[in-house]
Amino acid sequence: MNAETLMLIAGVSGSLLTIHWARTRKLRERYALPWLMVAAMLLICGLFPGLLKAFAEAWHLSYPSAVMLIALTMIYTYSFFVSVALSRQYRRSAKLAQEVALLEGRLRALEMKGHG
Amino acid sequence: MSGLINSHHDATLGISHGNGEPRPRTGRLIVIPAYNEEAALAATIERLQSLPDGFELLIVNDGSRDRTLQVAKQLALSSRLPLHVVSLTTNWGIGMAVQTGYLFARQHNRFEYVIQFDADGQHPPEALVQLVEACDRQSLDLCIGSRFLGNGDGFQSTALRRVGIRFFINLIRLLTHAPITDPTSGLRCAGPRAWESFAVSYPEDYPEPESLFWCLRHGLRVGEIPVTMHERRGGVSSIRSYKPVYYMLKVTLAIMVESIRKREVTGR
Repeated sequence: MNAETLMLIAGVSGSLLTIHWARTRKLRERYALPWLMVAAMLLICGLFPGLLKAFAEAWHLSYPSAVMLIALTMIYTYSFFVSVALSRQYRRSAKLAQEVALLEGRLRALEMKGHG
Repeated sequence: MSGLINSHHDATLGISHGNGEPRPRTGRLIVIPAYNEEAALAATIERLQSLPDGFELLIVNDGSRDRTLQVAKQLALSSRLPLHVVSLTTNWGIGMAVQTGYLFARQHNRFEYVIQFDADGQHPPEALVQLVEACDRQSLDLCIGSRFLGNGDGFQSTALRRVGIRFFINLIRLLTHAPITDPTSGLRCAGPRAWESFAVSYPEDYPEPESLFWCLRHGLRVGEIPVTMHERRGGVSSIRSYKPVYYMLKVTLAIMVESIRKREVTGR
């Protein structure tokens, strides 16, 4: 089995897995999109091996380091955006918790007033 | 989250209260999602005051950074029609804001129809009565106010957006054979079968084409009436200039994924 076949298999299984997770509502479409693009890229590289070779030659890289470079760039970019999204989510849930706490305080004060 | 709404009672009857008599649900709730709409909100609410009794208004402040919430609270004091205000702690997007309206309707158990209406003055108030009448007359579960039906007067969006809209029209027609003319319209009246399901599960961003497709796929009755829309008076569209590519991809993927999902149980 050569690298192209492996990429084809990875591309197809990547697409199927992503769609399955989106279908069961465990993965939001917003986050499914980049994964589908990764799978599509793998498929394209598997179908047209010349593309990767041309890229490697253009940057004076060996084939494995070109693959490594692309893979690392994608992993780095995606993880970075996930970290940003996580930080945003943290701020949102913190604000939510604080608002609920404040509301509960107000409600309790109102109830106390009502009782007495 | 699978297994949407379950059928638990007749669509127009509420849960019985006290004396065993079910309270009829006849109210109409107009949900107005508002994100940074301080400039347009007052005029929009003013224009809605001419609606007949039986309509109630709900402003959902979607974590605005301007004075939308203060303006809304002020308007609630002077509104002739009952005006409710709820406020999300941060900006969650149009889908979550509108779904908050459906949850409000479910909590208050007196509404038959829930109508989504833009805060920015694009939508004509007179269309609201027509939307409800169309739902009643044709027993619709969802009725959309369409810019592209009828004589085509009024503001019909920019050329680029019309290309996108045409794409969704064709995609939905391909998958459901339904000849919808305005799948992205944010002016829509939902009957109990639709909004009770929306209260359980609703797309977070750019929800209109996807939720419409959900209705069609689940055999809900969907119709359209012609409306004349105006250009927006203030605020910002939820689809900002750099987002159209994401919008197209996300909504297309969501519709395609929905089309291979297991069908959920709907009321009736």
